[in-house]
Amino acid sequence: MAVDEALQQPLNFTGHRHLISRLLLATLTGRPVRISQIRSTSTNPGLTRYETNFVRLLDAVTNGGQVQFSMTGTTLVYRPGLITGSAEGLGAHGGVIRHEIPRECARRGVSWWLVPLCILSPFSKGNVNVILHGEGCVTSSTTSGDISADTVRTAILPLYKSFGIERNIELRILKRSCAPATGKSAGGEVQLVFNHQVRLPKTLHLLNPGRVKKIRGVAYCVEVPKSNNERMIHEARGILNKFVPDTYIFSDASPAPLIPTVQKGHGSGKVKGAVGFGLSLVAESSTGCIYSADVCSPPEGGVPADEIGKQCAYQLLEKISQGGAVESVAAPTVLMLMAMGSEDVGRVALGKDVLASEEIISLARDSKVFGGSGWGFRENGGEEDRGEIVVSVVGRGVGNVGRKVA
Amino acid sequence: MAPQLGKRKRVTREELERPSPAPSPSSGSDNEDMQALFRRAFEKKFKPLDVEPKKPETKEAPATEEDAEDAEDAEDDDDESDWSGLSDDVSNKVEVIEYKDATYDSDEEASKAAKRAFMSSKPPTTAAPARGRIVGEKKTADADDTGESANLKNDLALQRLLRDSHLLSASSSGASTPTLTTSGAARHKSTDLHLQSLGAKGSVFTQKKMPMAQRKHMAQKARSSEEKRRHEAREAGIILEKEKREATKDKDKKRERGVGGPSIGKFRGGTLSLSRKDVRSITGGPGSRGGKGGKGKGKPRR
Repeated sequence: MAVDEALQQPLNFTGHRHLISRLLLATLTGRPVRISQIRSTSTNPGLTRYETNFVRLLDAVTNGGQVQFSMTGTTLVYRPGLITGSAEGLGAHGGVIRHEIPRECARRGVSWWLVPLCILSPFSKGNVNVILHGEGCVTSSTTSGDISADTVRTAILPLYKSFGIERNIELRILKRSCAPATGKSAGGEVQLVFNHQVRLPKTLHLLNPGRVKKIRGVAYCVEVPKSNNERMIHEARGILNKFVPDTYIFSDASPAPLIPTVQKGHGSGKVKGAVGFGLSLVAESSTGCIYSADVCSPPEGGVPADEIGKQCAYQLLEKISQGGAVESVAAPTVLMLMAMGSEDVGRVALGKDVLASEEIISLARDSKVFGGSGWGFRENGGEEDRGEIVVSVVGRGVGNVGRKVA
Repeated sequence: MAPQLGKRKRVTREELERPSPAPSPSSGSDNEDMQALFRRAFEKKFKPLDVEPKKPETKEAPATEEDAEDAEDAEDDDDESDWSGLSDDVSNKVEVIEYKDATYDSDEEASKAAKRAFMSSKPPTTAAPARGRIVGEKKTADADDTGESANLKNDLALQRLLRDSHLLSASSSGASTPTLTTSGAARHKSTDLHLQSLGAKGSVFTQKKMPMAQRKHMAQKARSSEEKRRHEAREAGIILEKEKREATKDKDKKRERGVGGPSIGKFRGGTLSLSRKDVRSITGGPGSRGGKGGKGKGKPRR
């Protein structure tokens, strides 16, 4: 394989869009990629801090990879290595990789790192145990569209169960933090434990979305009064209880994380991280399909808690109205795992709005470029047609290279 | 309103509530016409007002009340009753605005188990409601009293009875009806026995502090009575259980544990003397377990 890799010409891509999914596909398929013209026309060209930070994380969980940046950062050549997870001696201490997210990356929520890491984890050679921490680690949802760490745990991780990946998966939110205003830091801490590695994920057939039977949620507040949680919960339940009586939203209040500082005027040498509150809702259908919604208070404040609760409830209703067995946030994860599955046709019903997003379309194209077969689309017929499209994906059948014999 | 002297005027509620510069002139009928005129002019210019003519009711209600009480203030009443700004119908009815509805403020009632299941670090599972069903099944199995669980329960009761039988016989010897359950001091003793059988260090009823002479005497007495029992049994030809060897010598063999003392051997008279056993334990040579060498000779050294 090593000989092949040296000979393999890298696949060429342009632009900064879908960088994460391309890097993931490269790592999972073992094909080198060359991504050029990354924000080449922008006044601030090249990769952003959070993108380079993700490449760092990718480097930490793999072994033998090679990354080359051009001088301006507009071109990236990535030759993937073996996904080793938190193997001892390769940056891990005591079986745990501690990955720092610096303050400049606080624009993105921690889920931006977590979700791709979760996709890599089942294909790792060893266990995956990563702590993400630092001044840029935001566990809440962000205004840039990233979901909260709670939603990753309650809406993304349960999806792996349908691929036969369910044991020893944990996502611990060690320190909560909200999106900081500019110049402030967040200071959250999240630990991902993913100890169920498989040779090949099972083939998925998810055609019936079912009907929503229960709604759960987490209302979190950081360093602000707990009454905010109660108001969010009350407002959200006021809207959702009419549709689903089995609605429970749990409340979690935590203090702001303390961040060590060298600034003067702080006797203890520590400052408090960003404060705020937010709500994460998860609806589950009778067939186990999951829809989620996430709203958080903006960093500058000024939005009452009732408003956040209402927005979140409406967002959840909108997600449910889009239909399909997989919602938009989870669709890339599900489709990528299907594409990495055994050489068999997996099928999943997606809502038209979910499928027609730029992200999914480009994922379909990219996965074809990386050697997968094209995806098939057809209308979901049957007696209860809800305007869904059935996507058929043939797996690559390569799966976990580190576990050829498992 | 003219200031009044002499008699103190009753201050009515209507008077207090009314705005201080009374907007309406004193003559009632003129006022009405004027208002109608104004309204018509207003409605011509803008959209029609939806003010219903509530004048008749408001005029009567205060009049009946005040006629009885304030007969002498008749001239004042006239202009009071003319004022139509506030109607009693509206002010009597207290408008209640509730900012809280009681239908769903019961998130605290969500069971702790559900909360733990959802808020733990693991991804929540969908199988949570199945647990309740299992509990239900268990109950039904217990109900018929013939199943495995009933057998187990009876078994436990029997074992307990066997264990407590000597206590029961002692306690109920005086009573007319022997019982199967221990009570009072016997129950305490039974619990103590149970604890000891489960691995407690000693009985809770042994006295911890006692004069030394007394304890020695007790030990001696116990020993002598035991000896007497065995002696009598032997004479009568009864075979008893085997005597327990008491390991009293261990105390003397105990290693010195003072600070600065040697970890091996004995320090006496300025010399550290090592016994053969000690030497063997250091060298780990042959015969550290076996007899006098020989056996371990062939073993390769590590």
